[in-house]
Amino acid sequence: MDNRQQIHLENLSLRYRGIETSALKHISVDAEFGHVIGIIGNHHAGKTSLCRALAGIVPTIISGDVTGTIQVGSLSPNLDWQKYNQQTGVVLQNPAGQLSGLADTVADEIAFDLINQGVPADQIKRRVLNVADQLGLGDQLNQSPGTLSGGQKQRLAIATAIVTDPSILVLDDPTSEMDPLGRQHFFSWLVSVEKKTIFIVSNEVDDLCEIADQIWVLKAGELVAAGKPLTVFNHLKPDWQLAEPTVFRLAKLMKWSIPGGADEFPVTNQQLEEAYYAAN
Amino acid sequence: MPQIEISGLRYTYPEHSFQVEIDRQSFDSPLTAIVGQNGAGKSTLLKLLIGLITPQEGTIMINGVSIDELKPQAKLKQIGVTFQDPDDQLFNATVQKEVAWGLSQIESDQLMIKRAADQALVAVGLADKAAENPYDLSLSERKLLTFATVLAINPAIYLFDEPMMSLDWPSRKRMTNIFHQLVKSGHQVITITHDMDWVAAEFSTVHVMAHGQITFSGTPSALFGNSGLVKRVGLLPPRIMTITRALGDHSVYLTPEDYCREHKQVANNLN
Amino acid sequence: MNEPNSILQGSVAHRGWTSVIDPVTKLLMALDLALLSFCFTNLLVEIALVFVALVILLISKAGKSAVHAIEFSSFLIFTMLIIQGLFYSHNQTLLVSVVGIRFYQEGLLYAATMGCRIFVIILATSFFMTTTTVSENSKYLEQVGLSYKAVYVLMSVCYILPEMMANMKKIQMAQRARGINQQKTILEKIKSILPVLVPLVIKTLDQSMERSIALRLRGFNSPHRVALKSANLYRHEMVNHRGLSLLAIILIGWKLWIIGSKFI
Repeated sequence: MDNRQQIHLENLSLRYRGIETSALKHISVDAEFGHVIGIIGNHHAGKTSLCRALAGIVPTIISGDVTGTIQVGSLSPNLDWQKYNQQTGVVLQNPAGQLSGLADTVADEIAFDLINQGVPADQIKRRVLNVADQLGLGDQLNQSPGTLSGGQKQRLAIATAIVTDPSILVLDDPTSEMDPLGRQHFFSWLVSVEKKTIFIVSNEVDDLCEIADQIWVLKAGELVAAGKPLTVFNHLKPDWQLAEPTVFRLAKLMKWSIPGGADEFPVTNQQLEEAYYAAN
Repeated sequence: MPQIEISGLRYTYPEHSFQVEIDRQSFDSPLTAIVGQNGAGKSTLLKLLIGLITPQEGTIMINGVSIDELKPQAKLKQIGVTFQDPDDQLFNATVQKEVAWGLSQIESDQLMIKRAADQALVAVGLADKAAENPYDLSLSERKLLTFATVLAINPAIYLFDEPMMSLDWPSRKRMTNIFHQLVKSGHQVITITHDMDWVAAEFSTVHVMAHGQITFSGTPSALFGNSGLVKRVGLLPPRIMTITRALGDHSVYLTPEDYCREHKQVANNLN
Repeated sequence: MNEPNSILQGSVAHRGWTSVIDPVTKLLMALDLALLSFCFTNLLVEIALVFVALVILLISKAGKSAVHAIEFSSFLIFTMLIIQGLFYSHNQTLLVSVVGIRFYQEGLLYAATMGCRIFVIILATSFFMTTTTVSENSKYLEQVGLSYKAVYVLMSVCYILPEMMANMKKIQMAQRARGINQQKTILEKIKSILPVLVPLVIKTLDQSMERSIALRLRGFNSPHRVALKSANLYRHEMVNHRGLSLLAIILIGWKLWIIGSKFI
């Protein structure tokens, strides 16, 4: 099989130096390149470690033992990290921590990655304005990054990650500090993103179901489920202790199952509408 | 029920022109949520309520006593608070010591301190981690630890700034249970939050802040039933309402269970 | 306060005398002041140097941020005074005894001299930091030929203080809410330093680590990097650089000669 158009993890394990137990244990999974993958799990599940492995932070920047295969399309962080990293945008858990601290303004902060890549000055300005506009930071361009609210800083972090137009995005809980409207804008923006492979860790299961092609469920470093949101949430095990999407809870209570017989309940708004009209 | 009374409050930041202004407001409901957009003044209000910043005008009374007349120790017994980021406060070598330290600010009986600290750790589910270093815990656990430091002191009023932020699902359920237990034992809980589903499902009163002012006070049903207001102050209704509206139903529902109850009722009446 | 220096602007308007001095000149001024304070051991000279640095800072209209910097360093120096006063190895002459805790003259004198030196360094670097913006500094330093890695290291050392101050403000707030402001005796006050210091150190370390990860990810050491031109106009760059460098070399030479002559 040609792996070039695939996301392919095989027997992926990760152990940090000086810590006995592995943070990730023998993860094997395949997905399609260009898909959105939602990653969920509780604390100590290994979500952040998986992001670090997918971004190549471990072992390239933080030392640790990574074994197994990570292949995203034609690229792999473990074979040629420099090349992989140029194609990857990463948003870390703490948005304030990833600002360069070397920029007076939001505009300069966004421009930082482009300057590093040697993009000509006239192009930089155009791309910065475009990205700021997409993420609703147009009014903040001349503000100092330090004066932004937590939610705005997260949007700035996302802007810096996408300004180089990477083909892979790794987002570790990118909306944790956003208010409801900010979160809604972010997820509708994410739907509009095309031709990117996106790995996103989030607690917002409702939003993930709407945008993700696949959901990966982690528990204590192991991948316990992977598949379409509909399948994953219809087969949650109680001991995983995970939140269920509101749509799913409502449909289960009202016994509105997906038309067509598999006795599954909807997880997206659209599926719910279909189930509703089939039942009523 | 403990009570907070605000009157004629005005606070302006020295470095910029942002102003919090609250003419008259009482906090007397057992479970209160303060909601609003980023930058609406929620955290400033919280700092004013515990006397961390002093207003230029107006008074805040806690159970009939002005906040600046309360002695520090008495204040700790009246009002306990946790902030968004647990890493702003953890400094002791073990989880147990961290909880005991807070309590030792108002209590000298070592036996009592130990007992209260142990109880608080059991309540938040960290009893088996008592001997660990706080910074070896996960972020979710560190946040629970900051709750334990306040639970051990057992103040009359609890204030939380974004308690659900960075908590995983089991911890959220645990905290919600703790909130209800506190209310049952006569405490008052006031919390700032962005989570509208949680507000709709659990809270009896909600205050909306916008531009430094409280623009709405009432029940979650009253707030979310007024879609014009919700939009104006930059909020969203709980998810269940977005879903049911898409189905052409414009009534107010706070939870999926709520909807189910209502519709089973209708079905029963029809029979 | 400085105008933001941004990619969105063409050139920067004239903003008073400090804006025509280039960042390297300012850095060399800070270095020379620091070297001067290390060449002398006399407390009076040190105090004079603190005064000079303070005057430079004040006439540059540095404003509030400098005042905060001074407040913050006073906190660090106060901590040092106490520790040295108590534990300095050459302590002999008892100066004062507070509630059974003994402070010695040697330790306090030593700490005072060290404190002045730290003050000189802080005031001089505050001048550098408050009169130029981060973007301006890094652009200029990169322009004069420093590698971006070196620029970054230098900048992060300079800007760790404001970052720590912002952290400390939040931490103090959180700890005050837990009741640490009610200490009355000196012993209790000393004890109350710990609840602020521990989170402060851990948080600052954490942030620097996270930042260095983020910078690698964002390709800051990429060979393709093209430095942006600074939009500021400076005067007498070469003369200032040469003169101040010469002074620095003389001071270092002098200090080395003094150290060397002890062994002869």
